[in-house]
Amino acid sequence: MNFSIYLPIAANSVNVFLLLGLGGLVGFLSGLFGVGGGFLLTPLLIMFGIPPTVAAASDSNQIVAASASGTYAHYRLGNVDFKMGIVLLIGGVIGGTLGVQLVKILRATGNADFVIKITYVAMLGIIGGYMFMESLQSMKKAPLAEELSASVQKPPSFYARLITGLPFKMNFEKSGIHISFIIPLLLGTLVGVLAAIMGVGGGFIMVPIMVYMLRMPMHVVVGTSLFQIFFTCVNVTIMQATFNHTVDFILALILLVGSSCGAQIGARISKRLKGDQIKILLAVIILVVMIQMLLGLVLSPKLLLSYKGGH
Amino acid sequence: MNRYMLKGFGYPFLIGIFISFLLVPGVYGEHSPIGLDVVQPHTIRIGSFFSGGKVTVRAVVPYGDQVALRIIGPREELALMRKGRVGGLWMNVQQIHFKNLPKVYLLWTSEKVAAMERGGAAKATQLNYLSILSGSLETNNQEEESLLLNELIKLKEADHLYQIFEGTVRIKPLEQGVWDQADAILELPPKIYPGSYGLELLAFKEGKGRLVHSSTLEVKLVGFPALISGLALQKGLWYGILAVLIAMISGLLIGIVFSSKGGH
Repeated sequence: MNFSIYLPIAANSVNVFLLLGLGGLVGFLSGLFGVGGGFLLTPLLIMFGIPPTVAAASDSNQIVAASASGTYAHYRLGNVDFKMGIVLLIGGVIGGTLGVQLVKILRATGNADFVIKITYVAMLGIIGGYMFMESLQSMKKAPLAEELSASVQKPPSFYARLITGLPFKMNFEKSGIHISFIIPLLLGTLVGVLAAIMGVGGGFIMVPIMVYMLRMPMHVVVGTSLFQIFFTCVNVTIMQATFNHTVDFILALILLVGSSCGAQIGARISKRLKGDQIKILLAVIILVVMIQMLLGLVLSPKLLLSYKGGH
Repeated sequence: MNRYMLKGFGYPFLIGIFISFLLVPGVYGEHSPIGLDVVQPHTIRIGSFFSGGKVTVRAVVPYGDQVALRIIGPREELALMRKGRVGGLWMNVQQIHFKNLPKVYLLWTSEKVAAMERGGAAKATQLNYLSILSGSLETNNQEEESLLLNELIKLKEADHLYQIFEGTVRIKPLEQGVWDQADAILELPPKIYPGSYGLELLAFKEGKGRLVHSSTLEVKLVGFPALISGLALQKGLWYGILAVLIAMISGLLIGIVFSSKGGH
């Protein structure tokens, strides 16, 4: 029996259960750890023969689905800071638009794959390394979060002076903070650019930014992050479809079915397991993916020629 | 007597024999069975569940000939990126332009290609990759040309778009000492592009080849993939909006079904 499905934009035929499995695996990890799966899914798709630019764009499309359901659920719980979300969103739209144009330029110069891979290596290295260290610290009864929060108290850092010194201050009641809207705008732009290049919703970058740089309470962070990610990915998907024609909707649809189901299973299992061991396992997975991509940049390639823009 | 016969009937007699010879079926005349007897199907349709195509081919060739069947894709200009090392990291450093390059080159033979071409086949009937690709790269550096063409072949082979299947055409006698029948199943890769492909039958004897038959094989997108591809390429904005709306509705529905609170 033939279980392959033809992906017209990726111009390849892939086993439907492989895609469901990939989506399910990443969704499972997402549900288990409460982080987005896009940063893992795009490199996995690339490994299984999907052109990098199609993998990144289609991943953005499937994140629209996951963030839509998540935002709705958190809105009902009252965990969405719409004011902060809208400022981050404006930054995200600007960043996403810039990022898509950047991808277009990089594709024309043939460097899109290289930039996507190097961005991945850097981001996976930072996130994986941070999670690994945090888990180790936590296991040694000295959580890194405490150290970080302690370091935040040390006055006055350059960043602290910058926050307090900037004009156009706004009161974000839901988050309980009073800062210049320029800070979340710039941070939103940064995440938008990364989302467009990497094909991720930006959750795994946005959440630490909200916690450590905007100093928002954790329960509001997740809902607001999802709200911002939803609109950022809507924008990235439409821009990629319009200018680069790299959104494979069939691929996205299969992935979102897999990831949505996987996320439910992961969320249920997470309640029964110890957090630190699972977190360190995820950190190892992230670091393995990062090392695999890094080796691809360092070791001699099998082929000296490649298609432009990943096609 | 013999002298009279030759004088009186000589030329008409010889012409009559020649005409009779041409009218005998099964000889190299208009009734020769040489060629492709069966090609099934003539059109490969790429639908939602396409995972590569199969074409069944049956041909009739002169007794004792070796057979090659090949599918050649439309010629194209192709720009590829050449990798090089910059600051210790491998990245694209140069754009290489190939011209008149077949998108696809698939070859099935009844014998090793080297053995079939040992007599020095004419250019039109050469089978190996390098003969097909000759002239596609403009450079005076022979070493560079050889390196890049070999890399191109490896790249195309990795996508299964260039492939040689030696010894896959089965030959059996059709009429002892006169005709052979050649059978092959031509498997097309999942990555094959829509378009019009040349299908050629070549016969080789003592290292010399000749083109026996040439026709076309159509590959086209049908059904949902055709709809999606057309929409994505021609109406990108609407395609993007539709993709977002469907993803959003699907996500909300799945969330409701599982009482989801979403990822991230």
